[in-house]
Amino acid sequence: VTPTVGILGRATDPHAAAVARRVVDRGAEAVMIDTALPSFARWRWTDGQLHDHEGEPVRLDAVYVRSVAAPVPRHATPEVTGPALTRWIGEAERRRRTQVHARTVHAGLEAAGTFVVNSVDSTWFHRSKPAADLRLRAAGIATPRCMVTDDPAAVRRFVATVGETVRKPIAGGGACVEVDPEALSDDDLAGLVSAPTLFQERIRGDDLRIYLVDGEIVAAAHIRTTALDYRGHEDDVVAIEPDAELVDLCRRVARTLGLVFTGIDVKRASDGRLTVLDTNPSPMFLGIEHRTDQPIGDRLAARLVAAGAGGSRG
Amino acid sequence: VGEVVLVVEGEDPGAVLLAAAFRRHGWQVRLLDLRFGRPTLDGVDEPPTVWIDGRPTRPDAVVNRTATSRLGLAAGSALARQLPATWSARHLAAREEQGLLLACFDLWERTSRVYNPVRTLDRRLLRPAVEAELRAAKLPIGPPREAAGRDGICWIVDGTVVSAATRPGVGKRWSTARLSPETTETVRQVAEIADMRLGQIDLWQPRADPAGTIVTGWRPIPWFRSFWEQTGTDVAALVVAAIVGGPPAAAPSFLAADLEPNLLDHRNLVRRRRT
Repeated sequence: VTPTVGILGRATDPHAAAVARRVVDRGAEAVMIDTALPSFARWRWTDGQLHDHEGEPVRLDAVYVRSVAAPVPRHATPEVTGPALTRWIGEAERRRRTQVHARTVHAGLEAAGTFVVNSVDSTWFHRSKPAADLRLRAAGIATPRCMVTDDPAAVRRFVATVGETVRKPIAGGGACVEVDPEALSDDDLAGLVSAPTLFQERIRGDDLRIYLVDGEIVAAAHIRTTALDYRGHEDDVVAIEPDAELVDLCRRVARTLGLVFTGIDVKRASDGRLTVLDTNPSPMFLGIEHRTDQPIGDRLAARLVAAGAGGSRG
Repeated sequence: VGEVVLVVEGEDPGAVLLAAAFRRHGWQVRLLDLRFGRPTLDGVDEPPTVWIDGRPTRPDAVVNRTATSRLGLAAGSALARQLPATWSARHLAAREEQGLLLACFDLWERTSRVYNPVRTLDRRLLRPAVEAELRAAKLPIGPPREAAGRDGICWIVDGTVVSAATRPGVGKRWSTARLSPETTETVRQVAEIADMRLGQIDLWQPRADPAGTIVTGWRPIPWFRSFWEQTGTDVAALVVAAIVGGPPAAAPSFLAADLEPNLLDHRNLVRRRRT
């Protein structure tokens, strides 16, 4: 029987499309469950069976969960007040329900014993980087010291304790920026009243990016950059052979957070110390794959097809 | 002396009743009302510390009565309380706030007792998937039937039913009830599968078949006040006693002797005035 691999995400996402293509290349069938389409709302669980928008039962042997993101509703004007605010919040709630619906499909597949990459319980960490960091630290894995706050006094206390500090969004998506130790007055930090921010001690060293599938390292790269945040500032990306310490660290990270497929950002200091900066439950991989010629998507597709063919869970 | 953190995001009479009960047990109550402030997560040392109102807290228990979720966009309640005036900034603020709260609750799960973890609230949102698990476990779950019957409700803490009530129909008064051993076991299993340490479970019992009680729903953020007003049972006090691990602390005598009857039944007051 030809295994069927589901891809939960958006058909327009190049990473989702790439995995689908490589699943097909391996002789399996790929089913794209496009969470961005309005018809997705009609996918249903009935009598323990997933049904598509036309009510047809869907059998999936393995599933890659790329993304369940729903775009935030925009508004005709930047400001929202009065009745417009109520309408906007109502629309945001509808988008939220779409995301929850996608997670219901995700959770249902998992509960039904389908091999799912990654599980519901391990995909939420991208919504809270400090939650992942502190879990890793509790497991004995080095992560940067941090402060998550909207309180300027707490920021000053933190900078005085750790020295060089960077700030970044708690839920990711934005650049990492250096904190100016001379600009920590209440006025300088007035913007914090709008939203809390993640402050971390700055870790200096080489930027390493490691990909794992099912505990095996499938790609490792040194990203050469002079920028604080390498994203968009990669001077060069070089494949590396990870040493035993790095392999062990990355396996422990994936195991601690329950991730089958992950991309991990690690800093290697000049004295060799390794610090985990970030762990992604649905990492982008096409860029690194292209620049280092390491088969990340192929290995993921192979694992999905093998699990689907064997009916085994990872 | 224990310390409890109550996390709320709106007018919450249930949280007020819980806070009062914790205080009667001598516990220190720290209130984190997200409308007026956010916590600070200090991850300098291990274990990290959550600060509320500029003071560190190391709670023995945390009661989570918020819509914080790991599943998607922040809830409308979180968007509504953000300060920025633009939709994009409000969204970002709610998203970042949710990330902070997720980290705090996740930390508290390792260092405290959380009623309930965010995971529990998420499983309530994933209701169809959880209902499928309940059915697979052969538990009676479903909507109330159209036949004659009565509603039931019970409150559970760490697998133990602390109180139950019943009413003959929608709009009728609740009165306290005792669950059968079979229903108690069903409720315990539902709470276990729903991953609910503290919560309220809704029941329906057909008149023709009292043994055929079904579970119609579950709420990880239980209600207390209307049941207290209608049945005279302070369920919040029973819940807190179960969390604290002792008999319910007595309510202040003036409340029991004087105010409570009036709150319970306005007609009593009228009758006394007439006589």
